[in-house]
Parts: sequence; structure tokens; C-alpha cells
Amino acid sequence: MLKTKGKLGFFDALIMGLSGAIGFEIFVLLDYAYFHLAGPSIGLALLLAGLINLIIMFSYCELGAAMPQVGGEYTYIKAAYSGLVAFISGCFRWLASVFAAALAAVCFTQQLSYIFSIVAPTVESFVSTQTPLIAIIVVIVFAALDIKGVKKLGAIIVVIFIAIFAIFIASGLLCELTPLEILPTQPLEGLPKAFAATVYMFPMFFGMRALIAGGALIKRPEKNVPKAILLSALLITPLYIGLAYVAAGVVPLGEDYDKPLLNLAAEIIMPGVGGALFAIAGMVASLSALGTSLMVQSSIARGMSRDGYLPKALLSIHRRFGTPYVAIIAGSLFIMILSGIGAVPFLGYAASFGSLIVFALVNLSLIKLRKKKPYMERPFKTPLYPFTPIAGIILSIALLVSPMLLGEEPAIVAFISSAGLTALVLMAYYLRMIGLHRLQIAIGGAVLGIGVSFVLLTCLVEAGVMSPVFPFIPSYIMFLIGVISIIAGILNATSHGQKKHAE
Amino acid sequence: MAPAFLPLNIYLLLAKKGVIGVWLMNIRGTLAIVVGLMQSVIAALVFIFACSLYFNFFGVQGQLNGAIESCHFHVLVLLVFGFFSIIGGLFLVYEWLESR
Repeated sequence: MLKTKGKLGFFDALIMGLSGAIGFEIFVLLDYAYFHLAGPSIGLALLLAGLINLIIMFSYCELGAAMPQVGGEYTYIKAAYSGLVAFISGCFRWLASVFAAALAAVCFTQQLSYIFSIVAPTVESFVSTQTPLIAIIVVIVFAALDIKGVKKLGAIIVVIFIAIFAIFIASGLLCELTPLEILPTQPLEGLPKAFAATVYMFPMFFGMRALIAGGALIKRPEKNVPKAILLSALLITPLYIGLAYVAAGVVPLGEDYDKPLLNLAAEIIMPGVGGALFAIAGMVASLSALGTSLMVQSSIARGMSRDGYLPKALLSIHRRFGTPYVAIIAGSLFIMILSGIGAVPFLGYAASFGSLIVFALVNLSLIKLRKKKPYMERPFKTPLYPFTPIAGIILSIALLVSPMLLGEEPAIVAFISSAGLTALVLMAYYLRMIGLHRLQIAIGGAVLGIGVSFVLLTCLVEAGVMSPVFPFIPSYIMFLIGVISIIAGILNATSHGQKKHAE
Repeated sequence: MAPAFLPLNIYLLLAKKGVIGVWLMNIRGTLAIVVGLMQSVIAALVFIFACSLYFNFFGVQGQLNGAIESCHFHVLVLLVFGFFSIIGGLFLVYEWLESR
């Protein structure tokens, strides 16, 4: 059982919220939103993201204060809707962590490529062409470090980041900035694009929910958690808007750039060290986020395994290091494949997809719990109930669909991939419900049927009654495959091993 | 040399002691792992072949040009067969592992 001492005060909670929110995402997600979608209206898109995040976080505050135990979203959704909905939320939270980890690996490679472009341009060409390979190697190294149980980078990094960003914004405002048209000049075209840009940049905001997971470690969580979350949400929005405003002010649109937006802007504003400083910050943030995401995905997988939704093997702990090595390796394999894709907009949208569905479910859970448990103690209450959670649900779904309505290809591909994964998730749940034994019998019947068909077809072809379906496969091989399938089908259909085992 | 067939009363005695049941279970277990592995290997080969056919690796389509009319139909049939085969094969392997 987890023992909690509750030693962290409000300031620690605030730092925890900020360290969850301020991460590598700012270094990688601004580019696509600025250059391809929002343009000068990027500040507006960030403001929208900040507001939507604030609305959603109200629900988190109420539920986090009412149920401060470890577990976060999964616990709230399980309290409101047990079974399928809780399982789906766990899966999406896991998927969001996996996509975020892959994005962190890609961000690290981008920043590494930038560093090499300064110190060793000959190596840079190799790094930029081998991005997927380097991202995969980074994931392997970090998975190994996580299995060994290496400690994470401290919250001091957050303070350093805020200082670097503040210097950047102040220097940018002091130098000659091109005044930006924050509101789109053609609202009918510009506003939907700004809204779509919001989706791609949304992962920059929602990391602060990490504070919810650590609610049990905080003193008087019923008061400190909501205050820290709301203050974090209010602080990071102007910080991000300031960064984007300055970066967009010094890097004009309409030219092809081969460097990340923030590094380019830092090169201009802080000549000599700016670009490299931001690259190092980006690399540190990426590695920190990668390690955290690996651990988060493994803890979600283990939680679901404990509830019987996933194989028990995921609960295995390494004898020497005491870490959940099977869950880390299983998640790392997915992360390696995804980071090998290397497409930032795809990964950005996919990370948002899982999180936005979880946000909608958390808001739904809030409404359900208000009805189901009206007398539950709620130290913090969402203002303007029920409008706030309803707005949270509508905005989450609107964010999900808006890039697709604009025909954004990365979003469409990511949506289709995520929908496919959702289908797999539902299938896994269904299989768990019907039981493996019944599935084995059903598969056995199908394999038996296929085997009999193969044997019959071969006999008919050999008798000259019909022409071969697979002319490139010799008849005797078809016959052999048919016989093996028949035996396999009979063995599966008559299986009672699982049933006996279950008994 | 041992007789091919034992007297009926010996079989009845062995059945009563549960020895035949154990033999049958052992035979079934061995058969399950052998057939399961074969089925899984066949399915893996079928998947590789289907992918080669679809993406035309090593010019497979050209080599089979005279033999097949609809590549997509064949790929679909191969994938469906491979899907059921691999699940069926893995179930048998899993059953054998669980019985150990």
C-alpha cells in the first residue's frame, strides 16, 4: 500500500503543476501551428487553448479535491461509471502518454540536430536525415534507464526554464519587433485555422494535471490542489503567449526555415548563445518528459492489469532494480514505432486526441457524480455548474474535430489511427468479457472450417472439377495446410484447458 | 517384442486408474504445441507473402503475373487465413504453456 506523508505545501504544489505543464512541447509544437495554420494569430490560438484548459481544469479541481487519493482521472471515471468507460479512459490516458513520449523523442532529435548545425555542420546532415533512428535509440536508452530506476530531473529545471523564457520575452520586447495582427484579418478563414492550431498546441497546457496524480502527497489537498492547478493554468497562458508573440514577431512568415521557430527567434534576439541555450533547454525538457511519460504509461498499464483488464505479466517487478520492467518494455516498443514515424503534427494531434477524450469523460463524470453522490463532500465546487462541465465536453469534442473539418491531413491520419486503436481497445474489452475460453472455441470452429475448405478445394482441383484459387501454391502444400488447420481447429474447439484453469 | 494389443481387461484397469486419461492429455499437449507452432509459422509466412504480394517486394507480382488476375482478392484471402491461423496457433501454444 502506498504510504503518503503529505509534506508538500502550496508552493511545492504550484511548482509541481508548473513542472507538469512547462515542458518540451513548446519547443516543437509552435512551428506547425505558426507556419501552417494560425500565422500571426498564434497568440489568439494560445489564448483559446489557455481558456479551454482553464474550463476543463475546474472539473479536475472539484474531483481532485473531493477524491484526493492516488489515481487521478481513472479514479474519478471509475467512481462515476465503472467498467467499460473507466477502461476506455485508462486506455486513452495510456495512449496519450505513449504519443507524448514519442513526441519528446522526436523533439530531442530536432534539438540535437540544431546543436550539431552550430558545432559540427557535417554531422548535422547525418542527424537530420536519420531522425527516426536517433529517436528510437533515445527511447531504448531511456527505457533501459527507467528499468534501472534512474531518478528524474528535479523541479529546479522549471525555475530555470521560466527564467530563460522571461529573459527571452524581455529581450524580444526591447528589440525591434514587427507588430503582429493578433486577430485574423479575414475572420471567416482565419478563426477556424486559429482554432485548429489550438488543437496542435494543446499538449503544451494539459501537463499540469500531473498535480492531480500527486494529490495524496500534498498538505490539505482539498484546498491546495485546486489553488495550485488554477494558478498554474493562469500563469502559463501569458507566458506561452509572450513566447509565441516574440518568436512570431522576429521570424516573419513566407520564408522556408530549416530550424525550429523558438531556436531561430532566440538566435536573432540573443545572438551567439540564444539558439544553443534553447536547444539545450529543449533537449533537457524532452529527456525529462520522455522519462516521466515512460513511467506514467507503465503505471497506467499496471493499474489496468491489476484490475484484470490487461495481462498480469505487466505487474512483474525487476528482481534487482525493483522497477516494472515488463510494462516499461511493452510501452517502449510502441513508443519506438511511433517515434520512428517522426511526424510532429501527427504525434501532436494524436497526443491531444487521447487526452481530449479523457477530458470529456472527466467532465461527464463530474455531472454524473453530482447526481449520483449529491452529499459527497466537495471542498471545491466548479463555478457556474452545469455550464462549465458541459462547455468542457463541447470544447473537447470541438477541438478534436476542428482540424478534420479543415481537411488537415496529419489530423485526419492521426484520427483514423486513433479510431483504429479505439476499435482494438473495445475489442480487447469485449474479449475480456466473453472470456478467452469461448474465444478459443470460436476461433477453433473458424480454423476447422477453413481447413475443411482447403482440403475440399484441393480435392476438387485435383479431380479437374474447378480451376485452382491459388495457382501459385502447389496442391500438396494446400492439402497439408488444410490438414494442419483441421487438427488445429479440432484442438481449439475441444479445448477445456482455460476453463479448467479458471476453475 | 511387446504385443500390439493388450487384453481388454488391462485397458479397463488402466482406464479405471486414470492412466489412459493422462496418456491422452500428454498426447494432446504434445499435439497442441506441435500443431500450434506449425500453424503460427504458416501464418507468419502467409503474412510475409501477402505483404510481398501487395507491396510487390522482389517483383513478386511480376513473377506471378500470369498466375493471378486479382492481387487484392488474393491478399485479402491470405490475410484472413493468416489472422485466424495465428490466433488459433497461439491459443494452442498458450494452452500448452499453461498446462506445464
